Amino acid sequence: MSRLFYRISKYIFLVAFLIVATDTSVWAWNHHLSLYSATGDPMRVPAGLFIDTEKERYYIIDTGNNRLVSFDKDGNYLQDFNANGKLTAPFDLVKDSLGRLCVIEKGKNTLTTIDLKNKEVTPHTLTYNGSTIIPHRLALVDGTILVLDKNKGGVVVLDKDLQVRSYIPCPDNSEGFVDFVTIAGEIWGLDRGSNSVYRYSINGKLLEKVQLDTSPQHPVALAISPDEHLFILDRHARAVYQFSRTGRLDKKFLEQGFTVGKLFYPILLRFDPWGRLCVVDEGNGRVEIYNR
Amino acid sequence: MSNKYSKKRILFIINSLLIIVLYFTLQACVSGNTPQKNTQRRQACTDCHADWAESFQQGNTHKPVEAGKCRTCHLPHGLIAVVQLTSPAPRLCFACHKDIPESIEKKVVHQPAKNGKCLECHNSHNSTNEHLLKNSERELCFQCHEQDRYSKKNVHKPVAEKCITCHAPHGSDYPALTDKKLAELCAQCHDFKAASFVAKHYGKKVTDGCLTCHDPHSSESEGLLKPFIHPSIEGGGCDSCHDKMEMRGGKSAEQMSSLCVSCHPSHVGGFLHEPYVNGQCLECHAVHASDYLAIAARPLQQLCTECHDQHTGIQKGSLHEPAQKGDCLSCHQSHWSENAQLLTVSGNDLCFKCHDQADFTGKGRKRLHEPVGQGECLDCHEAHAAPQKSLLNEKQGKLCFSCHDQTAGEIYHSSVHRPFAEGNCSSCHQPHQSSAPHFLKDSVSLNKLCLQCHAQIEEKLKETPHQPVAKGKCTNCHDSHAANRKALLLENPGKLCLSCHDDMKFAAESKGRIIHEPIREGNCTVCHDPHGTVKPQNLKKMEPGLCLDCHAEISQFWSTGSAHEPASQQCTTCHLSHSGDNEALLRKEAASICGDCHESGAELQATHKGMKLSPLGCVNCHDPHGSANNKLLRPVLHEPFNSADCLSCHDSQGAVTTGPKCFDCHEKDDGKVVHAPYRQNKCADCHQTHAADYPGLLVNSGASLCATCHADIAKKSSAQKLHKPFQEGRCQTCHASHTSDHKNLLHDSLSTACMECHTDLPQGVKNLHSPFAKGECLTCHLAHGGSNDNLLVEKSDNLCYQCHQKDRVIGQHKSPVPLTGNCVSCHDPHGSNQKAIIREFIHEPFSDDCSYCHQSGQEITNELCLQCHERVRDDYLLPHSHLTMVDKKEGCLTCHTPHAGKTAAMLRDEVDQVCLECHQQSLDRYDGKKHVHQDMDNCTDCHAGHGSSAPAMLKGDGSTTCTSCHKSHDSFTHPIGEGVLDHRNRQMLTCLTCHDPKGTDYEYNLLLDHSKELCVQCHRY
Repeated sequence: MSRLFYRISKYIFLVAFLIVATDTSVWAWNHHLSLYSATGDPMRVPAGLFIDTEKERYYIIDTGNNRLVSFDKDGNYLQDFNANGKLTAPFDLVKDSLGRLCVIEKGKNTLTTIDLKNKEVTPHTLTYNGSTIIPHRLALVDGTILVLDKNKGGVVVLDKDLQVRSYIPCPDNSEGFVDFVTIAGEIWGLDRGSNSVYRYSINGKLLEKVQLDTSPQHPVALAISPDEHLFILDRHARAVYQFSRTGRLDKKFLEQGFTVGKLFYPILLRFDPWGRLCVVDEGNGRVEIYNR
Repeated sequence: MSNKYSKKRILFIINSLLIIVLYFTLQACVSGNTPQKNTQRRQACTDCHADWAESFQQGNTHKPVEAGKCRTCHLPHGLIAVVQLTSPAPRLCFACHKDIPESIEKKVVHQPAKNGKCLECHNSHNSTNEHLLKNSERELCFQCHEQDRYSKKNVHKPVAEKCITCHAPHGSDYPALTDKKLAELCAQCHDFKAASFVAKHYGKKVTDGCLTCHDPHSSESEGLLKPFIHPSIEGGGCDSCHDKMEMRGGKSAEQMSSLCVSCHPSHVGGFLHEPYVNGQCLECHAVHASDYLAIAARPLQQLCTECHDQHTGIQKGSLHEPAQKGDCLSCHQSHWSENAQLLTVSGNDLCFKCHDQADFTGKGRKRLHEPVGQGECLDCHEAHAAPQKSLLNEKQGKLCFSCHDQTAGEIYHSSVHRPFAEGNCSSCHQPHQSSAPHFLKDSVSLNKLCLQCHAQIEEKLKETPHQPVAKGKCTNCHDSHAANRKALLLENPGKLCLSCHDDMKFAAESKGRIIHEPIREGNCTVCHDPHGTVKPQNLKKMEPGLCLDCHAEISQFWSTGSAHEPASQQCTTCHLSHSGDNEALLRKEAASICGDCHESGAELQATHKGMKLSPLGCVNCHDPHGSANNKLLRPVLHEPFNSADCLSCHDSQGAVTTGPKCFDCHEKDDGKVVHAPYRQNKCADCHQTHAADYPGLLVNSGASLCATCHADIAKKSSAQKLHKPFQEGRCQTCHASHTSDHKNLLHDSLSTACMECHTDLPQGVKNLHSPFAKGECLTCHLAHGGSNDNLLVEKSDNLCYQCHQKDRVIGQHKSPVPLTGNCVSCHDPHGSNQKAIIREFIHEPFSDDCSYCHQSGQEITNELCLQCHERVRDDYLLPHSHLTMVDKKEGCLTCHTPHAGKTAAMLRDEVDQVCLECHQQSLDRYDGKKHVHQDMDNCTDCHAGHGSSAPAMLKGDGSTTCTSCHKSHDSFTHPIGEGVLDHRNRQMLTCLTCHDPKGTDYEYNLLLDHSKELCVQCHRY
């Protein structure tokens, strides 16, 4: 009897393992964030996406039009904002603990704060050890702003006055991170050169290196799903690679095109708080949203 | 002397003049004429148009016509006959009829006169009627004014005679174009004071307002009374209203209201019509009499739409029949109702008064569309009129998508079903109820619905249809709305087919098996018609025609030479169609398959002159498909074999005597280096003995032949970097096949052989690198393939230190910073005019002062470079920049050398080489594409080196970058550029919308086939 029970348990365990280990879900196009039907200009080469979980809003950084465009959770256009024409090539955005919008302006090489209440736009040039930081991507950990420095490929931790608190360099033999995200207070950085994803603590301690078993052609962005699968956006292949937590390729999906659901020049990949995968597509001027 | 000369001169002039006069006089006499002024008369209109002139003289004639003055109105024409007026109508007419302009300035103007359309009523030349009218007066008026109104039982006398008795034909200051004020007009005939007149009006003194009770033209009633008369008037009960209010003249609304409700009490409660509530009875009703029911003041439709004008502007689309007929009261009450909108009945019951309820109840097994089930007809339909058909309140597609929003997104797929694209949902779906799934008009399983449009598929049903087609399972393969594959396929053809045809799936996924290319590529429809044919297995054609579509070369001799019968009739006699274990998908091994038909008996031996037949099989000599000769021999024949001289090579026993025997005929080459088979007389290793497909009787072509022995070299074909002749299988570009005076059977000395192609290497420069000068290319390079750039034996630094002692090199450099070991970043490995073979282009600080960049402990960073190269900083600040790190080197040194370079831009190598170090995969994607961009070597032709605002770091947008070279496309006929949006993504249409500049499988680097598929991505239907 106990032997039979043991056997049944073994089968149940095996089936459960297979279900967990094999992600057979399909990512299907859900909707997109665009200005197709709204009045005004369509977006041009949008480069960034920030999701305000509290307000359930998407903010797209419409780089080509020097503005920020907001949408609600269902993809309805809300409004656009250009800080009275003061933005120059905005690229990424977060909202800090003080409620300010912090925008990377590529055109000025600054991290610019926008105080909406007082209508103040203040550009900040970031430096570290006498070297100018070139901000590329932004992320938040408990209200603290983290900046990816394109110059040296490391991650800069800022204090509330936007002064550099610490610098997390990219690892040796690395070409520098091309993108990074923060999950549960930890930093995950994508290194194109070593085809790896690195995990750091906020204090800069290297916790883990996940070596990917397949090399995307031109990885540009990283996203981590709530179940800790790694998603890499391949700009040249116009595809998303889904890896297991250990770096094994699970699947590759999406393809090149102009119609909805397809990608032309994708640049950024993020998960929204509702578990949907968002791809910012410069070439098609929209953000595609997929769900399982 | 001068005097004499001048006299002669005068005489000469006089004589000349006399001769000229005499000449013209004689000329005139001869011809019998004297020169005259040209008196030819200009032709009159009637010279040509005599028939018209005659017809225009009949009846009443327009004065200019009567006088023959056509040009009063017409301009003469030239060779091409056109009617041209001297000025446009009506200005032309008004030039003579000067009273008309005045009359059309009056308050009321007859519509044709107002529009200057004189010829709508008048003829221009003549007429049998007065005033050149086109028709008799009454008939003419009735052309526009409906005759029924003037032809009732009792007709007003002037109407029976002439309309102009009362009306002015062009313009008047009084309503209805009357000549005079109405009362004056009537008084012309009717004596208001006459006793009979007074008696008929119940003794009342009537002097005006005749039309309040009478119809001025005709009536069914005596006295031309209007059909609907206030009951109080009949019998002369005028006093019932007028005495009460003690009034004759204007009355206030309140007075009128209280007067009316004294007989017609107001209703309280329910929904009330606003004029009814306000007592504005005369807004809708006449006081005394009317042509309309309930003594309505005007026709009902007009009356209602004066206030309720929501749908009056709709010109196209649909009108609800009652609204069209002005029968508003078929749905609405006029004064009050228990229902909103004063409807006579509430909800759908009102609709069902006319529309058969059975069509909306879902009886039987029918399901109701949700709005129908909920009785919400107005969710989809307008009540009165709509710009769309069927009174839909939106365009059909938009209306349906307002609820079916998930489906709406499908419209952006690359392939869209036509009705779906047109928003014509009802071509497939029932809008109200259906027994079929998805409210389809007909069940898809019966095929009926799809075949209504796709009639050509119906023909397939008469043949041997594919099972899903026969069963009407169209949606097994096709999406009904849209898909991202052509023909709305659910999957790519191969994958789709294999989802049912498991046996083929096994073949396609098997490793080590030979698989027919269409199967491997998942392109089953190359051979099979997915709907059906009369041919077996739904093949598109019968064999061999089907096979020849791809393998045309096998039939090259069928018409001019000989065909092997199985090949010309049925390919599958010898070959399998999908997959197999034998080469060329043969059913059996090549050596044995011929024996299935050809017996190996005495006859075969006799045909081959008793010679022993090759165990390798017949196909060594014979082409199994066809040949120029009747023995199906391969095209290149060994001469003795061709002349049936077997004993030149074979002994009398039929034994093969290749080797030394070959040189009886073929002169043996001399050379220091001899190819091993040649030396060993193993000619048959490379050559066929009887017949072959390749020149020189070679057993195979190019590298394939060499690889049979030189497997070690052939293996190198998988190396990362390959020598081009090796990659292309052109071994003989460098090597001789039999003998040579040079090592490795090279045609020439190594340096000479290499320099034949590598002409860009430095020649005639002051300083040459020793191995290069000695022609020892293989000291540094590999000949076939390797893993390093430029086929170097080792990575450049390690390679250099093999000859140049490292310590010594370091000592010589006196560098303030450790050497990187990348020698070729400064030195040209072949030669240069600079000392120490330093590259030609030198970075200024390098030749001047190392400390300019290198200071103790200072890191070489981008910042250092940007201190001088300020312009590059701006490029780095663009959204897309090349600011990156490779091997821990900051951006600049990834591409540039800091000391000396091959180019003025100080790049570490040629542009393409520098770019490909990182972007090799970008180009690899285009390997094997049929159409690739020319001159792809110079990446910076299109891409910015440092930074760009455009994706892919293009120098401009997707149009300006291309048109910088393709200048004629700058003014391309297809709209591109600013303001032209791609409907699929609302982005600017550029060259990249249709082309992939690096390469595609389609002509002109188009993304899809330009005959249709590409265009319909945007130009749907």
